[in-house]
Amino acid sequence: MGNKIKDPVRLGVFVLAAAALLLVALYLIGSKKNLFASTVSAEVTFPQVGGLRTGSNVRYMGINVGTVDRISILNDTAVVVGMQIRTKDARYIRTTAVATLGNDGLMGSRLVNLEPGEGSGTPLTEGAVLATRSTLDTDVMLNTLGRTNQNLEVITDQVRILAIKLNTPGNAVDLLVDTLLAQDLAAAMAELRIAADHTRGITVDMHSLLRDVRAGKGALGLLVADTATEAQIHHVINNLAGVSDSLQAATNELRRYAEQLNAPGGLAHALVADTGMAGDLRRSLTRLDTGTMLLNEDLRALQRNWFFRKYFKEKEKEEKKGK
Amino acid sequence: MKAKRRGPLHAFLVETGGFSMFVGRFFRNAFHRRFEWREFVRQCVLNGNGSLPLVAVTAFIMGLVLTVQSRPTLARFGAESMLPAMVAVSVVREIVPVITALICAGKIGSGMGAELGSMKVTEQIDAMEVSGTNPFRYLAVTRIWSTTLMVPLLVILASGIAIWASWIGVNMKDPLSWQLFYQQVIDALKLGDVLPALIKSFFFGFVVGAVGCYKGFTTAKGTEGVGRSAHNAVVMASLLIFIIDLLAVQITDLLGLN
Repeated sequence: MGNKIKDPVRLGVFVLAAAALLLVALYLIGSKKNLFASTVSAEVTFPQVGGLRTGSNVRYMGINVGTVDRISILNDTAVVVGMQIRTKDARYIRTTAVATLGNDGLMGSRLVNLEPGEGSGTPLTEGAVLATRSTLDTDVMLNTLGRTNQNLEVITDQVRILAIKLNTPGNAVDLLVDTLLAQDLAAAMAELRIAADHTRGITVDMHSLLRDVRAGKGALGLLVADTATEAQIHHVINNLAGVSDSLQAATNELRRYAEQLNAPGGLAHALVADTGMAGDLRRSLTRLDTGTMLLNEDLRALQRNWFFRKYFKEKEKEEKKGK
Repeated sequence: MKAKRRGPLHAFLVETGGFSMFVGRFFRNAFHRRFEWREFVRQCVLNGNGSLPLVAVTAFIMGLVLTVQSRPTLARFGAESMLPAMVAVSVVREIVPVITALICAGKIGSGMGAELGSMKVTEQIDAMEVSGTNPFRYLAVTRIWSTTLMVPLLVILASGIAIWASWIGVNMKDPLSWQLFYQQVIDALKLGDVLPALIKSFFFGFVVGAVGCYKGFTTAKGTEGVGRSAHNAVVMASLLIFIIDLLAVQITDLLGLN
């Protein structure tokens, strides 16, 4: 008998629990889809909806305020999206609001985002039509990425060609990888370092020398710093200028003399340039030589003449005495 | 005379025809005004309340295991936040209805096959008929109605338990408030997820009860046949559950509810 009473009670609890759970779930899911709330319908027109479906969420400032209840093609460039927006939220949405298509997270479903637009507008009312704005679409991003990939392919090819050229012997890279060259460079650098050391020493010496010169030490210092020497130098330079003038005058005289010598008709010109006269002169000299020989012979004959013999003997004696 | 040996196709056709006639007989008696309410309530308590602990434990484990095992895969994609939504949809749409129906097929279907089979072989059913009671209406109709109504209720409760277990599974790694978890679950679920699952659960329950009763009513060959009826009831009910699930998926897909 006890079982007969208990059975319906247990069954009632079981059924009510399950039914209550089902009703709560249906209510919660239904209320999310605005099945039990007062709503305002609005519509927007997009060029394409990119996978938006009826039942997708509508968000205003990041808060779910409604759902998409209708998607229909208006023409080949426009799709009308009807939305049901909860009345309690619609009062905050102005007719100037702008609709964009978005994603619920990185991998989430598509949704409609409403953002406040410019101007004040009026609160959303039944049948309102909102403006839209296109956002960065995944397809556009992929197209851009495709172009980037193509560019990258070209760049990669060029880099590959460059690498092949660099690996080919007889180019600048060989110099970079040549160990002997590296050793030579190291040696050259060492030499340069030594030269630099020497240069530094020379510089120090020069500096010291210049300091001494400025201080008037040494001959050069004396020359630079001594005012008396400076005056003498000025004097010497003045004298040199005078000598130079004199030399200039002498040079002018010599030039004039040379011109006179070169002038035809003169003796010098005849001596230098007249070939006929040279022949005459040569012949005269030949004759003179011949005459001189004959004269010598006559003189030797004359020395043996009794008339002049005494004179020559006396002269010979005086010479002996002189020795 | 030696009986002519029949092939498996003949056996299959006989089974299909017999079961179809049994189902037709059920519908002829299902809405009779002399309904055995008391037996129906008893069967509901037996099948519903009696199966609840087993179904609840199974649902809890399913929700927990599914969450724990799905987490690493989602974490690899940085989508751990989608865990509640994924588990909720999986559990509500498919896993809980099918697993609950299979458990019921194992527990209730085999029980019916064995109970009615033993009544059949001990001629209790014949005795009822002789005493003026309609055995089909008293035994089969009440049982089939009870499973048809109890299995969906078990599925609803099991879904809730599995989602709660999933929340525990999520919190085993990272703390997540129930409120946020529940919001994510509600956001993920649609009526198109809940209603098809609920509707097919009625069919699952019907199949469990109908197959169990059919196998019980067609038991033969003594006590050996009772065991075979119980075994066949589980096998046939499980197979029909999967077939109905396949059809349900196709129909919901055609209706655009996927």
